[in-house]
Parts: sequence; C-alpha cells; structure tokens
Amino acid sequence: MSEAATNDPSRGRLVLRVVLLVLLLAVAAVLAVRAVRQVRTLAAVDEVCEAVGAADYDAAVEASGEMERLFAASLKRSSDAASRLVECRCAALSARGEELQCRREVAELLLDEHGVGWAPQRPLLVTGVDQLLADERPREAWRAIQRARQASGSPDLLRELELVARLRFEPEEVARQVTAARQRGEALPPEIVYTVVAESLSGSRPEEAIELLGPAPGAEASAEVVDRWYALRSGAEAQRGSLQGVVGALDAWRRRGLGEEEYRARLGLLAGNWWLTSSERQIELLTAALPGEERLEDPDLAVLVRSRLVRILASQGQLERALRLYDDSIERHGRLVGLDREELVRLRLESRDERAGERATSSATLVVDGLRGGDRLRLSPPPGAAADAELSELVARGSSLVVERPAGERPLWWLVRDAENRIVGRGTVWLTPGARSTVVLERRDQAASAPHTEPAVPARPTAGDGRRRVVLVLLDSADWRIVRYLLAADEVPVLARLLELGTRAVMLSDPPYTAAALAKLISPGADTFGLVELFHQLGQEVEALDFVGRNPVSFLEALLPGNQNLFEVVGAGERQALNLLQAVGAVSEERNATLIGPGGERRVQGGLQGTRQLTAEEIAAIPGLERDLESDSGRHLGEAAGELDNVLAVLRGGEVDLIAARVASLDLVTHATFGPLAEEGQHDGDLALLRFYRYLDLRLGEVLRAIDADDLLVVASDHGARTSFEHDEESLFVAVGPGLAGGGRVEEDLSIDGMGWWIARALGFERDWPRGGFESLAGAAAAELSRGGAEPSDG
Amino acid sequence: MSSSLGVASCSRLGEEVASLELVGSKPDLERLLRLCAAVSKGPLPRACGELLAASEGLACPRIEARCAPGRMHCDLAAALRCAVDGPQAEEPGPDEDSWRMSGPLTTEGGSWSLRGGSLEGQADVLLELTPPAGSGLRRAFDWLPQTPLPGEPRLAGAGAAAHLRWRPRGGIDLTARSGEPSMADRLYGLRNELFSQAVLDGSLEAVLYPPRQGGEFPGLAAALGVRVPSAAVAAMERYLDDVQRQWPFTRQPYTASTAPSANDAEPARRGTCLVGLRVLPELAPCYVLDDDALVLGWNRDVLERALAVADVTATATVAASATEQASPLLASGELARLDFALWELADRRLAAARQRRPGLSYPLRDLRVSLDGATTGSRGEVRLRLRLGGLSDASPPAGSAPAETAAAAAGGGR
Repeated sequence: MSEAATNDPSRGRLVLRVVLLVLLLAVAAVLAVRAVRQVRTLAAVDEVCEAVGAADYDAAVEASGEMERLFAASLKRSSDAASRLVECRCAALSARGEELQCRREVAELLLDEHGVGWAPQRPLLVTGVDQLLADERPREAWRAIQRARQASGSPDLLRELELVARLRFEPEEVARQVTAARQRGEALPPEIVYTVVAESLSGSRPEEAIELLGPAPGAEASAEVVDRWYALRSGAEAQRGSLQGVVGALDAWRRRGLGEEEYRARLGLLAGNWWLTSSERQIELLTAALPGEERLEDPDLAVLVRSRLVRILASQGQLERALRLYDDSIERHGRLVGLDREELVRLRLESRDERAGERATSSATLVVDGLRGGDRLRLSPPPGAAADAELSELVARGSSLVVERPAGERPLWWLVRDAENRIVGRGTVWLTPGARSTVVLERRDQAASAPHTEPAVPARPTAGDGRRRVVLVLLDSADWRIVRYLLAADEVPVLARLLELGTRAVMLSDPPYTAAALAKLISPGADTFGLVELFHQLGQEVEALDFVGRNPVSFLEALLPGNQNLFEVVGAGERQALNLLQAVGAVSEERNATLIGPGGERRVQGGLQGTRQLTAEEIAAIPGLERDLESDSGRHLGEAAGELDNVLAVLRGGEVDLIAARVASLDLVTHATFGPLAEEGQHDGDLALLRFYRYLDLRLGEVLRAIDADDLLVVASDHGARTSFEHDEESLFVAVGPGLAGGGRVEEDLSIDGMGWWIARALGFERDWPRGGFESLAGAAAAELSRGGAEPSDG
Repeated sequence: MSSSLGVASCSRLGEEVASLELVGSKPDLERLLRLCAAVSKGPLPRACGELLAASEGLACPRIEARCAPGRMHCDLAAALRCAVDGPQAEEPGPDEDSWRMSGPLTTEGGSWSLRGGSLEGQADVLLELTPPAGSGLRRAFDWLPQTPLPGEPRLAGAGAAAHLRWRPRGGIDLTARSGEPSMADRLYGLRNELFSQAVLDGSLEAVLYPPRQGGEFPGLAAALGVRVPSAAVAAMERYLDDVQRQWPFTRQPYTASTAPSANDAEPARRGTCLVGLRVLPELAPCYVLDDDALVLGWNRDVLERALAVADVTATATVAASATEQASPLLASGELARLDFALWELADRRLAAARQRRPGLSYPLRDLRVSLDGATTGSRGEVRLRLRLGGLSDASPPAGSAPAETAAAAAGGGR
C-alpha cells in the first residue's frame, strides 16, 4: 500500500500543489500584514497631521506619543511620511509652547539609527542642526549634515551650518582653509566668509576676523554685502578694544552710504557694549544717538541704544534719569532689552539704603490714605524694637492716619484690616528722613488670597510616651520680621500655635552665615580657629550650591582638631542622632544623613529623598503656589518638601532621638525673591517668598502632629535676612517641649553658640560647651527629662 | 589605629588599585612623622603620631608598613615593621629616595605618593597625584597646574601667606560644564561668557594675605588672564548687569591709583566695586583691568594690596622682616609659595576675632611648589616638587601657639 501510494504521480502533484498553495498563502499573508501595518502607520501619521489641522494640538502630541517607534515605522514606508510626521508633531509641540522639545526631538532623529537615509526638508534639518549646535554638540551637528547630504544627494546642503559646526571643533583649520582660499584668489561666497568671521568674533578672535575680512569690501559688492562687511569690521575693532578702529570703520561705512543716525547709534552701542571709553563718555555717545532715532531703518537699534543707556545710567547711580528714560522708552518702543522697571526701582531703593545711618534715627512721616473709620493699620515695629516684636496697630477714625517715627534702615511693611477683621490691603513703604511718605490704600477683597482649604492646626502634641526626642528644624535664612508680618496676616497658623505652646527668643548668629552657624551647632566644643578652619567653613558654604554638592576642601578635615560633635555625643551611648543639616537636596552625600548610634556606630540613614513634587492638596492650600512651581522657586519648594518629608519619615519611624534638619532652599529663595518684598507698593501678599514661608508653615503642622508631649521641637534659623543680599545676625528661635513656658519669651538674646549645649543637655548629656544664654531654658528641659523615663547613658 | 591614613582603595573594575604603604629610612621617616604629628590634633597628625610611636619601638635602619589593596580600613601602625627582606631593606644609592609613602586618593581610585630624602634644613619632596578614572574628583584635577606662568608675578607677594600662579590643565571655563544650568548657575550667572575660554586665557594667579589687625577675614585676590582686555571688561560689566538683576547690590566705579613708585604716565586702572553685599565678612569685591588680566579683590583694600597700590609694609601684615628676606617671593617657574610665619599670623588674628585660639602649628618656614619634569603623565598624573624650607624640629603641640607679638600686632613685623 505504501509503495503504491509513493509511486502515484497524481498524488505527488497534489502534494506539490498543496505546498505551493501554502507558500502562496503565506506570502499573501505577509503582504497583507505589511499592507495593514503600512496603512496603520500612514493612518497614524495622518491622524497626527489631521489633529494639527484641526488645531487639536494635545491630540496630535498624544497620537505621536511613541515618537521614535512611529518615526521608525513611517520611515520604512517613505522618507516623506517620516518628514510629515516630524513636521506635524513639531507644529503641535510648538503650538503648545514646547518648541524646545520639538527642536530637541528633531536633533535626536537626525542622529537616530533608524534615520539613516532620511533627509528632512531644509527647515526641519536646519532646526535640528541648530539645536545640536545650541547644545554644544558640534561634531554631531556635522555628522547630521553629512548624513542628510548623503540621503538627499545634495553635496552643498547647509554649507554655512557645516562651517559653523566645524568652527566649533576645528576653528583654526576652518579659518586656515578660508584664508588660504582667499589668498589663492578663490571667490568664496560672502556668506561663507562672514559666517567664519562671525564665529571668530564669537570666539573672541578679533584679529583673525579682521584678517579674514580683508582690507575692504569689493567695489562691486552689493549694498547688503557692504553693510555686513562694515558691521563685522566695526564689531571686530570694538572687540579688540580700539575705539579709533571703530570710528575708522564707521567713517568708511558712512562714505559708502551709512546714514548719520545709524552712525551715531552704532558708535554709541559699540563704545558702550565693549566699554571702549569711560562711563561718562559712553553716556554722552549713547545720548547723542537718541535724536533722530525714529529715522533709523532698524528700530531694534534704537531699543538697543536705549537699553544700554538705561543700564549704564543705572550702574553710574543716575537712577532717577535711568527711570525716566526707561518710562519714555517703553512709551515710544514698547520694550527694552534685558531690563525691567522693578529692577531700577529696586536699585533706587538700594541707593537710598546707602544713607542708612542717617535714616536710622531721623524722623519721618507716614500718611496712609484711603482708610475707613474702624480700619486697623498695622505697621512693622519701629527701629530699635526687638526682631520678634509684633507689628504696631493704629485704629483709623477717618480716611487717613498720620504716623511720625524714625525712618529706619529697613522697609516698613503695612497691613490694613477693616472693622470686620478682613485684610483689605498690604504693602511696603520706605520712609524718608524729614519727608512725608504717602500710602494710598487700594482696598482689595483679600478673600481671594485665603487658602481654599484651611489646614487643621494641631492643638498640642499628643500625650507623651516617657521618652525624650529632640527635633530641630533649621529654616535657613528665616527672618523674625517676615514671620511677624505673616503672623499679623494670620498666614502662618502653625508658627502662631508654636508661639502659644512654646518659648521664643531672638537668637544671634554672628557672623551671620550658614557654615559658621552650622559649625557652632554641630561642634559646640570647638575652641580653635584659623585659616584651615575658615577654608573648610567656606567649603561648607559653597556645598549648598547644587552644582558643587559637597565640600570641595573636605580633605582639610584630616587636619582639623577632632572636636567631638553634638551627634557623636548623643549617639555614643544608647541613643541615635541623625544629622540632616547638610542635606542640601542630596541626602546621599557623605555627612548628610549620617546616623550615629547606638554605641557610636555610624551609617547613612536609608529611605530618604532629596526632592519631590508638591501634592495637589499642598498646592491648593496656598493660593498662587502653582505659579511659583513654574519658576525657580518650584525646585526649591520640591527640595523643602523632600527635606521635611525626611524629618517626618524619621520621626514616625520612632527610633531616632535627635533629628536635626535644615531647609536650605529657603535661603536661596530669600536671596532670589526678597526684592519684591522690599519694593515700595501694595503687593497684597502675592509674593513668592511669603508663599514659601506659608508652605513651610503648612509642613511644620505635620511635624507638630508627629511629636508627643515628651519631645522637644525647635524651629530656628541660622541667620535672618535684611535684604536679598544681606544676612542678619538676628535669627528665629521657637521651642516647644516639657517645661518650656507657653507663650514665653527669653528676654536676653540667645546666641547660636549655645544651642548645641542646650540640645545635648535636653537629652541628658552635660558638656562643658558654650551656653550662649540657653541656661534659662535648659533647667526646665532637663528636669522634665529625668521625670520622663530611663536616663540615657552618657557615652 | 583606624585613621585617615588607613583608607585604602576600592577602585573601579579595571583600574589599578593603590595600596597604602610606607617604606624607607627610619630616621628620615620618623622626622617626617614628627613634623606631621606636630601640626594639629586632627586625624592625620594623630595617625602620624601613632606611626611615630610604633616606629620608635623598632630597632633597624629601615622600616616598612603596607596594607592590602582594596582594604577600606587599615591599621598602618600595627603593620609597621623592620624592612628585612628584598630591596626595601637595602640602603638607597646616593641619587635614590630614602623614603616613600603612597596610597589611594579616594574610594573611587586614584593615588598619591610622596618620596624624598633626608629632611633637614631645606628638603625636596616629590608628590605625585593620579586622578581616579571618571569620578567627580577628576574634575578637580582640571584645576591642577598644566604649566607655570612665564614672566614675573602680577600680584604683590610681599606680605602674602600664600601666592600661587599657574595655568590649570583644564583651563578656566565654567561654561563648559555639560547638562542643564544648575540653580547656582542661574543665581550667580556662572554660565556667563565671562567665565569662558573665549574671554579668559586660562592663566590664574592668586594671593592670600593675613587679616588686618582686628579683621575677621583674610585678604583674597586673584588675577585672571584675559584674551582681549576690552572684551573682558565688557564681559565683566555685562556679567555684573546680569547678576545685578538677581542681586540688588550697588556698583561703584573704581579707579586704582598707581603705585607710589609708578611712572606718572602710567594710565589709571579702571574697574568697579560692589558694595552693600554683607554676605561674608568684609566682602565688597572689586575688580580692575590690569593690562591683560582682570584683578579681583575681596574688597578695595585687598585689591590695592594686591596691586601694590597700598603700602603693604606700613600696615598690619608684615614689614620687610627677617623671615621675608630669608624667604624670597614666588620665583619664576614656581607654582606656589606658602609662608607659614604669615599663615600663623593669619591664624592668630582669625582666632582672636572669634575669641578662640589657633589650632594648627607649622613646623616649616615655607613651602614652594613647582612642577617636576613632564606636566602630565599618560594617566593624567601630575608630579609636583615640594620644597620644604626652614625645617625645624617639631613645633610645640597644637594649641600652644604664642599670642601675637606686640611687634606683629602693631604691624611692625615679627
């Protein structure tokens, strides 16, 4: 049977047919799948572009979500499809204000392995190459151009950009080639030469630029080429510091058609921007360029001249004139470059501050208008009052209040509440000695600034567990006067509660900078000082900068006398001490997050974070905070959030006896945003710095909830802030704990020198360290400790 | 002992692992350890003291101690023994070093080594530093010298506790750091063109003066060489424009008068001072353009000392003292000079301002640093020749530094 079947020719043909049919079906299936995929890909591209066409940019971006995969798939279909996809996605991203994202994506696609053989349209190609150059990736830019040339078969594609790229990584070779070509008499297109010259200038090689330009533009050169040549030549002369050379080039240009107004504008700008003459002469030259500016062909020139003139007037202290010119410029041109009015106002305030000594004692008059009977005006305490003094209060009987007081050296913050206790205005005014300053209140509905959800403030810590823990939250740069201003506005309810529950003081930190304060706190027993210690402290100061991150001279620690520090003392016995004072947003760095104890054992506390995004609830709790998230303050808020999360996580873990943490970001925010708080005007509390304090207050509420009645909570600062660039010796100090009088105040200023001694004592460790006036607090805290539970052994 | 000397390497895979070791002439090494132990009560001097004590218990001409590579901690004093086997036990030839110490630089790799001969009077010690591959410290190596600067120093070295001038191997270019601008970049404008190689030529000179009598801070001044002077001033002023938008300080035009001995025809040097900062003690920085360098000072007084405009001998730093005569200024080709007598003066003044006492002693009169041979090796190492001047027996223990003498306190030298 089987032999018969094998030899049956019809059966053999049948098998062959079946095999062929199967093969055909398989090929058809593959083709069908490919066709479906192709259609799907093209449909996906169409979807992206149609969404753009319908101005639904979010949908377009979403549809092109996995860009790299879709790009690779579309490229398999056709180069055009890929280009179309990229163009449409870029259009959508740009429409959403994410142009940089578009540029970066194009740049990456130009280098993508899938993109070999892909040559986008010129605008797209220029976009990508430009971005690579902007990102300082000139070699990759050059490679992208080569790939595009190969793919498009156009050997001259983007010659200028290629030169720009090459100039970045082989400038001398390019300049040599161009110079040699010119010497051989080769007629290089002017745009090539000028591109190279411009790069020479951007690399501060003016001599090379002048050599490349040659002695003069050709007699036959077009007006455009002549203008470009002289613009570059005069720029090169300015860059090499020759006012005479600039004048020579501009004179020659004038003979070839440069208008008188443009001559004066360019001369003033070059002399000013390149500092070719004295400040006074620069002001003369720039001022001479103003008449006839409306006849300038390029209106930007007038804007640049005015911008430069305002800037130099300001830097020379002619602030009133600078401000007048600024206002006039905005009226005429609508803008100036790199300047804003607030900045000039601030500088004017600063210049007033130079007369601070005179202002401290000279009497001034403040008139507040726009009041109603029953309004209560609250003002910063007068000069000489303690840093933690409450705002003074006056009740209006009519529409005005007149206040006589010393002018003082600080801005005067004011706040008005109506008869129903609603805040109707807040602001800043500077008093002038012997003069009358007037505030005209613009009544506002302040309900808008109230939190959407009023955070619950704990009444008091929960019942004690018989064990003492100490929690120190050091708010870097927190200032008593700002806190008092916020307290007057009821915007820091947790700090208000801490003042009710605990004892406050003005703590002096001298010299008022962080590293010195931390050194005193961490190593209270240190009794030596010299250059090596100073350099080490300065290293600590700069480690707060995020690109430094660690003390660059930490190796000096090998020489520093080994003073036993607070954490080592506490962690030597049965207790544990955690140092988060040096965790500037990067908890993994060496000393940051070092946990000592029990038995002196050292390790890095795990499970901590450097920064995090704010939650929706946190953002909702403080009106306006969402705007800060989009600025530099956003990152600082994230750092503060992470740092306070760490405190809470460790507190809730329950094992650590001493937790000392610093919120370093408040210092950077203070430096960056104190200015508007010192600026004259009605701000109504809508300021980033005040919101940052409010956020910290919100989080302190969580800390207060996490401690119990046997714990000691200290909220303090390492220094205060007089202005955005001036630290203050007077620092914040509030402590809540057993034996500390509620609503109490230490009458004599404390010194930060004694805080380490006091904290050690509160945990049962007596050390011969400086006390800094803390004795009056220490007795009570130690007595409570002995009542609370087992005495810790002193290691 | 578990000391800072006892940190051995834990290098990256493939990188040579340095081991901590010490070997050589017992008398020379003991002299070195004695000097080191006298500096302070810090971890390194304490470790030197422990090694010294261990060495004094041995009776042999040469000693050695070695820890296994890769060990994170190592008791070098416990490992100290007489060199009994191999070439280490033999006396060195006349041109050979009599002692050598080496160890890992960081836990990420890299190494250091010190070697030299007899430490008496004035002695040379060779220091070789090899950077770890790919660590953050490697960037720090970019600040080490590539070459000394030719010509004479620009800044006044008289009265300076430290004076250095060199061209860093990585140049000076803060704008070249990769990645997004950091917060500090934005706050302080550090990516500004001013700090780029387009403006700066990469040469660096700096001086450190002791504080004035009653002062809280030493005087720091630096000169940064520039490519095109007028462009540098323009860049500086633009930089100040930018930073002033962030920080509201006040600018005051500054013109440095010429030195008392200068030719009347010498043009005045113009610059700017920033006032009203009050961030660090005595900080009110000024700059001027001096030929082809931007000279920056901690404040106007320091700048004028550095430019030799102020009469440095008339003030509280030092007069033309016997020490200075014996310790001439930074010589051509030298990278750095540290004058430890002035260093002590600075310590005394800084400590007095803080009601403390100096914590370090300096058993040398001065230290001079120059490059030894090739500027860099194949692994990026740098070899420096340290000339120790005025070697004495170990100074009294740290903390017993005498109070400032009446002469120095009056500004009349030591």
